[in-house]
Amino acid sequence: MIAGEDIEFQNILSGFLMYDSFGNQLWRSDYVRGRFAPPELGLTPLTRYLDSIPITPVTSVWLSCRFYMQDGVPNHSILGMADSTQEFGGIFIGKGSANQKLGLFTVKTDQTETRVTEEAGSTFLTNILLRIDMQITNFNSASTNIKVYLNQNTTPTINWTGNTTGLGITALDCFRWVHNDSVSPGRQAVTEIILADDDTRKYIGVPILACNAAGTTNTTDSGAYTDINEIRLDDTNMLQFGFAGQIFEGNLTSAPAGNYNVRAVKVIARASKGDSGPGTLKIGIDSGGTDDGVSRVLTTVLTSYVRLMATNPITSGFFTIAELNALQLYLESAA
Amino acid sequence: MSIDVTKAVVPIVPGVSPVRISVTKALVIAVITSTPVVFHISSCPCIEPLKIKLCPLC
Repeated sequence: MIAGEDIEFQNILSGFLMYDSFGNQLWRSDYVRGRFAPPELGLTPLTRYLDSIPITPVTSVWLSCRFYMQDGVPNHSILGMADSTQEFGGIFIGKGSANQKLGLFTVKTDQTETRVTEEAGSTFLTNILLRIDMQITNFNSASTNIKVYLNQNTTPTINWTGNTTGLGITALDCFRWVHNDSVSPGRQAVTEIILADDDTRKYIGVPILACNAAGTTNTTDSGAYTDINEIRLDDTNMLQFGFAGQIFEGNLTSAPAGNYNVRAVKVIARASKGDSGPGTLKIGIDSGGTDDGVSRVLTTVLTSYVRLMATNPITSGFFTIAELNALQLYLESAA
Repeated sequence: MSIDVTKAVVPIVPGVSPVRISVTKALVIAVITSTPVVFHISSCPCIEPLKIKLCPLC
């Protein structure tokens, strides 16, 4: 299981997407097109900003993200893992007894928030883009172990073992970012979220490839790549498929420069069907001129449909950088 | 009667067709790593990432 998450568009519960400021300061604009930003001050602590699209519930998981915060309030949670079906509850990191001291919190579904430990030092720095990796092992047991690594260090900043039963939830299925007051809420950011069952510290990041030109084929009834490549979600323009077998392909922006390996590629499409007409959308890629789509049965409500590919389905090998750079987004309607 | 769209169960989306599939946004996300990625067969007893790389069964 690995679910790279980044600029999503259906689970922002409070706050919004920003993309026109602080690039390569609060977020890495070479990788992603924008950042989640919280709303204004004054919310109750623990108010949800964002849940990632739920994964199959787990009790052991790695979470990775990039995080920036100016100031912040001591003794409150910021981000962690939660149960998407519950408004409160989970395992969070946040501000310890001082605003640059990393703290670890358990939160119950009744909103009881307990700081179970904090780092001895003060390395949870404000005003700098941090890389966070957190490993949770055996959640909902008397001997849960949680390690938090800052900036891909080999030694955890927090290494806590303790009881995580009785929180009101028994498994974790989403990344969650919650309210912690900041002097400048606009100067907070979370990007490049990864949930995985293996060590996330080896991952360089999560680049976003968005359509930037027409692809090889577009036989849709209406719409072009410009209708589906917006940064901030806009449902008012779209591609429309009136019959089965219609295809849309779009060229994509390039992958980041450098020499690296590709662990996984994910295609996301936000789509719905009509009361009649085609009801299935194949989502996938055109790689080297060959199309590969996997069916997703749509509903009449706009929803994000995901296809995660650990390997290139056309070559059966891992994606290469060259393949990534030549990739086209592929969508096809089906009955 | 006014409709509060923020509380609507079904989003009210201008232009979504009752007879077509509508796609309003789509993109591709990659996860990249500095270390070689390797297959790990389900029967392999190795669970540590470094061992996986060295495991002859994988």
